[in-house]
Amino acid sequence: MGAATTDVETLVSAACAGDEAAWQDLVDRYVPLVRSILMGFRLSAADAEDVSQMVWLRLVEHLDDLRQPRALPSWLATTTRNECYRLVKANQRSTPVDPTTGAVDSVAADESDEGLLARERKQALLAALAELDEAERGLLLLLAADPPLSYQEISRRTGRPPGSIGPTRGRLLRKLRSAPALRGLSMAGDDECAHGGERCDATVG
Amino acid sequence: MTRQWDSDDALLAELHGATHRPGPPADAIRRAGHAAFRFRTAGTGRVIAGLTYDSALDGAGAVRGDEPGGRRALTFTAAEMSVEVELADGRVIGQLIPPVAAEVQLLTVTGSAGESTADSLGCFVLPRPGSGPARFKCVVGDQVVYTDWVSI
Repeated sequence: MGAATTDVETLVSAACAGDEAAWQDLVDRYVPLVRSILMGFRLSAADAEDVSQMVWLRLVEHLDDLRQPRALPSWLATTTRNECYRLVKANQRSTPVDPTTGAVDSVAADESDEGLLARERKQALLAALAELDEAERGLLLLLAADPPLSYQEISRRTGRPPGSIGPTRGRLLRKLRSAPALRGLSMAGDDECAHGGERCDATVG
Repeated sequence: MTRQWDSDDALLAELHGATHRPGPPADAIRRAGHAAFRFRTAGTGRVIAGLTYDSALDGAGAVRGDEPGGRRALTFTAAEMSVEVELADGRVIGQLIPPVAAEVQLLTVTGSAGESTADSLGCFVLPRPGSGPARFKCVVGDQVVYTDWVSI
């Protein structure tokens, strides 16, 4: 797997059929999305790793239900968020607090300060990023570097001719914009439970 | 909503903001992901019972529910069967619904942490393993029901 044209749907099918390389490619594509949700909860590195392990363990068994391209990022976001909530609550229980100060609430400083809209935008963007292959993602992230890298430097790092980088930049950004995750952003809530009805309703914290 | 992304520079800036914030190392998340593949189950008769209720995700009630000596309730649901489980101090009490005799195994990432036989009422008891990911495997005739993994 990993050919430049492989899309998420193909990877999911291949992983379902037992192709480990396809699974690894899928994971690599969605690490930024999972990580962005973990960041919103300010977990320790160890807790974040535990949550991600749980999310991947569940995903590998639910892949067969998530063949629709838009179902996967929604499922990942919901599952990661639920595990984070659970862990934050568990940490609260093991943290001595003075109930009169309400200090425990600060542990739950989760994504609320970020704003729902900003959060959805970011997740849609990362879901769209996951639809690009590894080389495309790598190049796009170099182009997004801040402070910016010169095309010469990007050429040195990627082995692409400097003259090709400008046109490729335009092509990749068009591809990113046309990804289903960004085109459907205004309907982001509609398929939150696309993977299987009640299961998701019942586990949303 | 995508209108603000019409500018290439704005789109790249937002992409940078979404991927370059300090946070948990991506490598650890990726490693955990790659490693999960060997826990994929497959085959005819294999059914996944998804987590549909977790008292640890409840509101105020759950704050007490998982304290030492307290209990955590979980429900896993598949089309034909659900598995209800209570994590108590030192043991796991469960019931298969509808009641059916079955071989029940508690699995962790390092292997089996205990086996039991569900009686004719579908009830079973297992020792509670140490904290970490765990799941149940219930063999009913030629059907094998695996629950979702949960962190216990």
